Amino acid sequence: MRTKEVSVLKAHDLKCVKGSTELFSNVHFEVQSGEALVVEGSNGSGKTSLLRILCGFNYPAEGEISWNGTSIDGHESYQQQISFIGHASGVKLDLTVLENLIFAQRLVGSDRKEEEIKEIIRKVGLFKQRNILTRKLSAGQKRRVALARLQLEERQLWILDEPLTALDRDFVTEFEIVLKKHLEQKGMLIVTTHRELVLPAAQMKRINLSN
Amino acid sequence: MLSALLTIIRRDLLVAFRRRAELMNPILFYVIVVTLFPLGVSPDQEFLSQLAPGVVWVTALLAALISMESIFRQDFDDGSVEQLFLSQHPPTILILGKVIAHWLITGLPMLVIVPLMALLLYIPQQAIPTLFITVLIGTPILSLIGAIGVALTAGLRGGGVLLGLLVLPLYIPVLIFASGAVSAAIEGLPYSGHVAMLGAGLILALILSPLAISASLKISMS
Repeated sequence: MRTKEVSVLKAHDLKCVKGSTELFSNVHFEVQSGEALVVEGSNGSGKTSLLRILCGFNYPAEGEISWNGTSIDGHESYQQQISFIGHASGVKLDLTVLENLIFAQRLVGSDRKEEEIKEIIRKVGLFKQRNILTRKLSAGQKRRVALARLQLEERQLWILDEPLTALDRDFVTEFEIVLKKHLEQKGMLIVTTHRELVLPAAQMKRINLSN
Repeated sequence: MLSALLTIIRRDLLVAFRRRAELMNPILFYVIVVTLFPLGVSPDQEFLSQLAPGVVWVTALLAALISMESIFRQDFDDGSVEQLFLSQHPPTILILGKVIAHWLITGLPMLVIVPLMALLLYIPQQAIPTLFITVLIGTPILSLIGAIGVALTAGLRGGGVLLGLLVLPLYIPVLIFASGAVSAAIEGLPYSGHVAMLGAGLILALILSPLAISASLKISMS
């Protein structure tokens, strides 16, 4: 894994408005390397909107987000620090598991050998299915492909929207180990989930959008 | 940069190849509509060869239009659009790659079939190379401009009709110069001016449309 620098993501006074409804306002937080931020809130409280704002896909109605002190608006390389998994996980259904990951890693500019990619596929438990079209996999298995992509991309900031959907309990435990390792290696994590994630309490921050 | 371009072209071609059934639709549409003209209007040789440049090109515009939808539709559904903007490479390069792949899938088959259509419509032999050149230069412009429209309407329900309204007016210059060149060649007049205008259009579209597509995608994503 590449060594990473210590980074800080700060959000100041964020407000999000969709149509004429205000989803949330007055949201502040700060996440540093090695920390995880769990975004909580009821359905429709703006969790996904917040994550998309943090990715730079949407703009907040008010407030500012900064990465290492620079606003993410003008920050050219900020988006290149992010691995994002949304509701749609960015997996091409007409490619096989292996092809998906090979293309994904080329797009992030990394050039691992096929053996290494296969190793990651083995870790997420899809080795037998590696040459099967992703379309034919179950929902949980598709999710696993996306989570394999995360590990491949080696980005510092992981922004995950409900990553545990459709995953079985054993795999969630394994995935928690991956997350811990990511945090140990100066990674950052921003995640929404309705299932409890077990991470070391010292590294975990929480924010609730419903309040 | 070049490797990113090639990667995205390869990926999109592979995906398209896996959906072969859809691949054939635009080109079949093209062939069928062109063959309807001799049946519906008149099989008269002189009349048809006069009508031919317009028929070949109007049909090409419509075929391009119905094929455009597929360029970003899936990417919006499976979340790949977001990934384009998080890539290490500039989104404009990746988008250009997507358009090139789309042209290889839809424009290239047209290039192959067009001389055959020309024979069907009694376009004189001396004009067939000109027709070929206009299709070679013109269809990439259609893909580049069409992609802007698709990027803008992809987030909308029922964006299909809107796409036609947005894009067809922008296709008009291509239609005028391309069919103009073919008509001129049929009459034995010089046509290099028309082709030069098409070429200029292609260069302009190549430079500007990836920027416009990228901005449109951002709007549709938010």
